[in-house]
Order: sequence, then structure tokens, then C-alpha cells
Amino acid sequence: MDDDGALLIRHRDGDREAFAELVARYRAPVYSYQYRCGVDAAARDDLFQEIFIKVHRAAASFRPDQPLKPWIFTIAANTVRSHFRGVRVRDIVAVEAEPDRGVDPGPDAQHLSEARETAVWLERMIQNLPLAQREAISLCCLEEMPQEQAAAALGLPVNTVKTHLRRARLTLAQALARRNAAQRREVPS
Amino acid sequence: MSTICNELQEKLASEPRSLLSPDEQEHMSACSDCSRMLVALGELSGAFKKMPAMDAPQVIVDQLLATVLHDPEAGAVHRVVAGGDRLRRLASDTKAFLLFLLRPQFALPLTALAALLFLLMPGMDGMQRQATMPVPAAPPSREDPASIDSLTSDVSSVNVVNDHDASTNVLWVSDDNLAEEQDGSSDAKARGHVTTPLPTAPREGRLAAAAEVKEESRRALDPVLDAKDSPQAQPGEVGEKLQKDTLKNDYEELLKVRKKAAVEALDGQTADRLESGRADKPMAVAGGVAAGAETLARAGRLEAGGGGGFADKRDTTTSVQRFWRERSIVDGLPSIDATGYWSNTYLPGDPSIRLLQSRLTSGDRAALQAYATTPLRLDDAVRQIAEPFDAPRDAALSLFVQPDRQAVQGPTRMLVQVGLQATKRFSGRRPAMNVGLVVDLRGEIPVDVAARVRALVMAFAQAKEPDDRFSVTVAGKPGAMIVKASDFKHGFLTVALDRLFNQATPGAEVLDLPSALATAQQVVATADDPDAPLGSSLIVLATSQPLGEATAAIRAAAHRSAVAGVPFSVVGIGNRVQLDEIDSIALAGQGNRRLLGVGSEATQLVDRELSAIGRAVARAVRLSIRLQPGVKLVDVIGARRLDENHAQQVREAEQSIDQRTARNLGVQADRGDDEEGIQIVIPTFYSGDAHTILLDVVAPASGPLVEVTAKYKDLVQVRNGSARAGVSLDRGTTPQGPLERNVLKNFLALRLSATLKQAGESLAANDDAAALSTVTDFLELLQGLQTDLPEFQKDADIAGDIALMNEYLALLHSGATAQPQPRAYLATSMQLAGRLKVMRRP
Repeated sequence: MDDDGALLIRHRDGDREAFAELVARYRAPVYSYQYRCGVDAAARDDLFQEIFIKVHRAAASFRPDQPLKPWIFTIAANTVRSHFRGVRVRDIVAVEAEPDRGVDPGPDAQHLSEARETAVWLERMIQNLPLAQREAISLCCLEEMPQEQAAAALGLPVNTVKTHLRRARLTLAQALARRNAAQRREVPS
Repeated sequence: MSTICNELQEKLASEPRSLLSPDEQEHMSACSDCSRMLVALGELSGAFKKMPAMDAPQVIVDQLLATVLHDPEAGAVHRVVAGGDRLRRLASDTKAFLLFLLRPQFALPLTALAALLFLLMPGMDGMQRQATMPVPAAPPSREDPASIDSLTSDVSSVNVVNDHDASTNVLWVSDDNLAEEQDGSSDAKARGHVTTPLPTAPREGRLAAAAEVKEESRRALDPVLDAKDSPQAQPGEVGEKLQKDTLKNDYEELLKVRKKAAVEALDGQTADRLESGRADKPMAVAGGVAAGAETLARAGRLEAGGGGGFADKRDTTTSVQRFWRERSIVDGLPSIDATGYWSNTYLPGDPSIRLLQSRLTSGDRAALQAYATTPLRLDDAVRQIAEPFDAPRDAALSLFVQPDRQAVQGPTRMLVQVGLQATKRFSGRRPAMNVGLVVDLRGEIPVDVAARVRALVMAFAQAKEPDDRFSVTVAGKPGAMIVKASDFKHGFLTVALDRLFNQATPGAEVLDLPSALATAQQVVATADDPDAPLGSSLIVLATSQPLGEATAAIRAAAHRSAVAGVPFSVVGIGNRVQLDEIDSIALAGQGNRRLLGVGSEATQLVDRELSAIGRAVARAVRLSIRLQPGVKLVDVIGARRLDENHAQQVREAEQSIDQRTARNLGVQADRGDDEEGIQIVIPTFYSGDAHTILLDVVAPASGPLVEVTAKYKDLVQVRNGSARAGVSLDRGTTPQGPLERNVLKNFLALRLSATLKQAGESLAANDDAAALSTVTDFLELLQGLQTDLPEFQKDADIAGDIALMNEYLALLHSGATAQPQPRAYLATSMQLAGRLKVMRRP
């Protein structure tokens, strides 16, 4: 049993601190997953709470011999899919940058600004992908889950996940190549 | 691109680190496309590693942990229990149904029809969902989605946001309630939806028939309930008599049980104190009278009367009797002119809740918990009333009218509920925005406020899209318009904010607040495209301090701005802002009101503000409520009649929207004339929201009661929309059905809200006696109503309210108020719970 799984077991057994620790470990990955799957800002917080309440409620069904991360992302993926089924007219997701906490960027502002620009661009491109590809990219490339675990979390065959990943990477790499070319044209050497 | 290019690139994309064969390597060195792809895939892998994680707002996590902490039920156990409950209810229903079928007076065809209807009952549907859906398993799942939005500083109406999966909404009510709610929903549609001509159609349809079947079955099984449910048991002129006669024995027995349960719900120490402290009750009761009178005088709903001590039978009777007596008075009431313009109570935004939540977050819950023996639920336990409104399918809004009784025999005081339900459809797209952000920095600005201002400005910078035009104007500090729209970029903003907070700029212009607003309005108006959608130009005032005497001038400026087609929103920063000032300005400016508690919420706040335009489904919603001749208006609960000056402002604002939508969308302008009856204009209505208005009236007799029309600019269908509904009363003593009870529950929800708000304020003002008696009085009322109305005994909302009030009462008795921290936490929690009963949970 991994550490995270032990936390859930402890929570199930009545340890009040364990769930807070579990949420602390998974809040950013789950919230990021929702964001990258295109859940709009208005629904994101509610969905985030719903996911963890489901984790809490389903704790009894968790088997200690299985890894926790795919188990949690199974719940997250199903909740997000269910949400999208309910939202028939899907809104266009506004591109958000990294949350700014109101702190000045400091001396490396230019570098940070470029990194953020790329991140913003990539976020936009990811959100233009079909949902299945977004799910695969989020879990395999951003959460760095093994493809087998991602497939288990998404309820898909491994080869299907591989296909989604390949198509997503191709789309993004082609867009990135075009972007690089355009930037080279803007700044002639 | 050649085949080998395709294959190679697909291979690289499948596994970026894959080994290339010699042929592939040779191709790669010669093919620029493939080598560019190889580079891009490498960059992509690097970029993935640098992608920042998005994190959930802390307040959301805190709420989540509080919910989980106070959720006593584990999932697997709960599912078993829930399934068992369902089976038991199913068995009970089946038994009732079979008994019903055996009744001799029903012919076989009718029996067959009833059987068919029963099998199609929505309770079965709910059970099926319970078995298959992985949904949260406790009341929070019900209160979260059915969240409620609001109003002005006074609690006055119920606004429900319904952008959730409705199926989760029905899982935590009994089968009976489930059937009743769904019955109510469809029945409401049958009776009052949109173009239904007057008089209102009688109850009809499958669900209504099914409910009647169940009702008959229940009566056959339970003669005691049957007696209580007789017309005599209904509120009104004979209800009081019945309490003294027919139900006396049962009632006293129920009181004993109720008292026992209430005392058992407390910890031992408190229970002992309550038991031994009865001699002290008269003092609390006296306070209760005073507090109650104040509440009621303010709300204009109840006469002053004797209060009641907690668990005291005679006083409890007095409390509920007072309620019924008040609801049965038909003579001597003030007559209010049921014409003219009345204030709008639908105002999106949630600053008061956020303010209170932020206080609780920084408060010491553990200090209060120490006075309780079980985990406290407090405001987390608040359940909101689920409105039985069906969302429209082919229009932006649907309209419902529902009285709290179906039939009368003579002059009768009653409640009439007018409900609006918006479609869940919305575009979600926002146009290019033209925003003038005005930051109020008058006086000394604390460091934490400065940090939030920075966060807010930078959040606008993040949200900016290529065609947006944002500018920043500052009041009270040198610099005036510190960032023009053309300069609204990260670097300019950083420098400008640094200058603003860190470096004085000698000789720079300093604007007062009205001047700063005028400057921003001029800039926004200059760039405003009259053909752009209404709301795409916007003024946002961010302030961290009370506005005081400047409020009137700002309100006037906001109104002028709105009439000119530029809505005016207000963002309060921190805890010092005056919410009533913010409310009044946002109302006048047809904008939103929001609160920025911590800097990390700025991104979300700005996102919601800018995306609000995409959630609007109707504009210039004009409600005309015409009472039929002879019907007397006692009150439009929570609203006020506008004087001519304010009425003229409403007309101007409505016509401004009318003309703008005509220009932008080609929707024919049709406003300019006043209408008969009570007129209420709502500038903008948002997707998924529900809003109710309660009228307190006296109906002279059976017959037509009220007719309501709603005219609006339908942004979904892009046309002038209209809906019409009305109600006619039957003659007789028909018992209350679920829809009628829903009206009463909404009325009680408003009362609960006002009670908790007042009790919290009393506690904060160190008036413990007033807080105690206010809570006690209302708890007794709820318990008395639960006794008088058998359906309330199994009503989850009422049971939840009683549990909530019991918890607060136990804490008030526990000695927690002797210490400042638990007292402050309790007072804030009560105020928050009061708002959450009728407002949307953020």
C-alpha cells in the first residue's frame, strides 16, 4: 500500500487529520485536471468539492492493494465527464494564466513572463483538444502517471490511451512548430 | 507530407524517446518538417514539466474539510442504509397501495389505471438513480446544488441557482417528498406556466394523480393522521379551535416526545441546565417577546405576542398559535396600494456571505467546539428549499404563481408566491470587454489591502484578451488614471502599482472618488461600441472602506452609467466595506456586487465578473402582478414601494436596455408604458437562477386571485419573450398539497433567515438574552408547525431547520458565549446560516 492509500485508510478508520493531508496532496493535481479538462471557473470549485466528497464517501470501497492516485482520478474523470454531460451548451473556456498572488515578479521578470506566456499558450492549445485527448495528456504528461494507470483511471484500454496521447502530442507539436516558425519570422536573425 | 514523414512523426509522438532506424535517421537529417517536429516534441516535453499547477482556493478546501469532518456517515455504510430505507419505503408504499386497491368504492378500471400510475411514480425513478449513481450521500449534496442567491441588505426573497444535476437533488428526501416535489414541479407547470389562460387549470396529470393515490393510501392506513389532515387542521379560522379540541391529546403526546428528543439532542450538561433552569424561562421569554416584536415589526408580518420557553408546552402552544392567529387575521390590516413600481430583490453576487465566511475562516472554531460534545455542523448544515420550478425548454424564463392554499370559504389571509426560473442554457461566450476599473485608495491603505488591490489589477491583466480594453483610475492617491487602456500590459501595470504604493509622485494629480469615477466613465463611454452587447462596457469600483456620504453621489453616477448602457459593479476589498452601500450602488448600476477576501480569489472574481455577460439569459424582465378586485395587499415581503423619483430611474434603466437590445440584437423595442398592478423590473436574469417573490394578501372569497405577466428580452431565442400565469381559488376546504406547503416553507425560510441574522447581531452586540429568545421563539414555532401539519413531520427541510436551531440553542445555553472567541464565532455563524438559507452558497 502506498503512502496516499494509507492516508485514506486512516481517514476511513476515523483519523481526522488524514483526510486533510490527503486533500493537501491532491488538491492541486485534481484542480489542475479539472481546469485542463475545460471545466469552467464557475463550476470548478463545486466540482472540486464534489470529487473529494465522493472520495470520502467511497473510502470504504478502496482496496489497500491498489494505488490511490488512479483511484482518485477515476472519480475525478467520471465527475468531470458527468458534468460535461449536464452542460449541453459548453462554454468557451477563457484562458487563464498561472494564478497571480499579487506578488511582483522580481528581477527575473522577463524570463518568468516568457515562461508564463508559453504556459498560457500551451494551456490554450490543450483546451482546444478533444476531451479524451485532454484527459490523456493531463494524466500521462502533466501528472506523469504511467499509461497503464491512466488507462485504469479513465476506464479505457491502454492502447486507446496511447492513441489519444499520440494524437494530442502530434497536434500540440505541430502547433508549437508553427508558433516557433512565426516567432522566427518576427525576429529575423 | 510523405508517408514516411507521417509514420515517423507518429512514431515520435507515440514515444518521443524511441530509437530510430538508420533509414529513419537518414530521413530525419534530410527532412526539415520531421526535424522541426522532433524539436517541437522535445520542447513540448520540457514545457509540460514547467506547466504550473492550478490550485483550489483555500476557502473551498476549508469548506470541503468542514463538510467531511462533520459528515458522520461513511460511504459504504450509508449506501446500505439508504438502500434499506428505500426498500422499507417501497414496502410501505406497496402495502398502502394494495390497501387502496381493496377499497370497494373504486371500480376495476380505475384500479387498473391507478396501478399503472403508481408503477410510474417518480419515487421509483429516484430509487433507480440511487442504485446506480455514485453521488454524495448526505444533505450537503442537496444544499450545494440548490444554492440560493440574493438580494439587498434585508433578506427578502429566495433566489435559487440550479446549474446542477437535478437528479442528485432528490436523493435525500423521502419517497413521499420525492413524489410530492416532482408532482409539485409538474403540477406547477400545469397550473401556471407561461401562456396558461385564467382561470388556473385544476390539478391534473400523471404525477398529481399518483400523489392522490398515495395520499388516499396513507389516509386509509393512518386514521390519526387523517383526523389531523382534515380541513380543520389547516391554518385559518378553524385551525386554532382544532388544536384545542380534536388534536389535544395527540398534540400533547407529540410535545412530550418532541421535548424529550430535543433535550436528548443536547449534551448532558446543557440538558441538566435546561431541566433545572425552567424557573429562569420567564426572563428569557420576556426577552423573546421584545426581540420577536422587533423582528416582526420590521418585517411587518407578525403581531407581538407571548414568546415561549424552550420545551415549555404552554409557551410553545402560544408561539404557534400566535403564528396561526397572525395568518388568519383578515380585518384591520393596513391596506397597501397594489400598483406602481416596487423594488427589485434579485441581485446577483455574494459579498455578505464571503465576508462572513472570511471571518469564520479566521475565527477559532475549536474554541466553540469545546462547548459541544458532538462535532458541530453550524452553518454547514443549512439546507435550502428546492423550488418546484421546471426550467423552460424553449424560452429564457418560465413563470409560476402559487398560493399557499387551493380553496377558501370566505375572507382568507394567504401567501402568494411568484416564481421565475431561468433556462440553464447560456452562450458562455463573452465579447471584447471595455472595462474601467476605479480603485478607491483614499486615506491610509494597509499593506494587506494594497496586496489585494495588486492581485485584483493583475487578475484583470491575466484575464485580458486581445480585443479587451481595460484601464485603471485611482482615487485618493497621486496618479489619477494610472494605466490607460493602450498601456494595460504586465510591465506598465507593475511599474504603475510600484509607483502607487511605494514611490510618491510629486505633483501628480489626485482625484477624489466622484472625479475618478467620472474620468473612468468618460474613458469607457468614449470607447463604448453602441452595437456591442449590453454589459460589454463596464465600470468596476473597487473599494476597501465605507463610502459614507459619498454613497448617494456614487449611486447617482452608477444609475447614469447604467442608463447610458454601461453597467456599474462594485468589488469590496476586506472586512471594512459596508455591504448595504455596495448593494445600493450595484442595484442602481445594474451591476454585480462582489467581495475580495484574499488576494488568491482575485482571478476567480475577475473571471466571474467578466463572464457574467455570457451567463445572462434575459434582460429588462418586467413583472406585472395584478390582484383581482377585492383582493387586498398586505405586503410584498421584503420589497418596498418606490417613490416617483426611484420609479423614474427604473423606467429610464428599462428603456435604456430596451433600446440597446433593439440596436444590438434586432429585438423590437416595446417598453415605455407603465402597466397595471405591482410592477417590478429586473435588469438582468442569469442562467439557471430561480427567484421568488412572496405576496401577503387577503382574498375575499373563492374565484380569481391574481394574474401575473412577465415580459423580457429573451437573449436565448433573441426575441421579446413573455409569460403569463394566474391563480383562481376554489370554494371549499381542500387540504394543502405539496405546492402549497412549498410556499409556506419559503415563507418560513425567510423568517428563519431573518431570525438567525437578528440573533447573530444580538449576540455580537452582547445581548445574549435577545439572541436566546429569538432562537427559542422560532424553534418553538417550527416545532409547533411540525406538530400541526403532519406533512412537516416527515419534511427533511423542516427537520433540518429544527436540528440547526437546536444546535444553536444548545450552544447559547452551553456557556460558550461567556468567552469572546466562541461568542464571536457563534454570532458570525448564525448570521452566515441566516443568509445561506436564502442565498446562494458561493
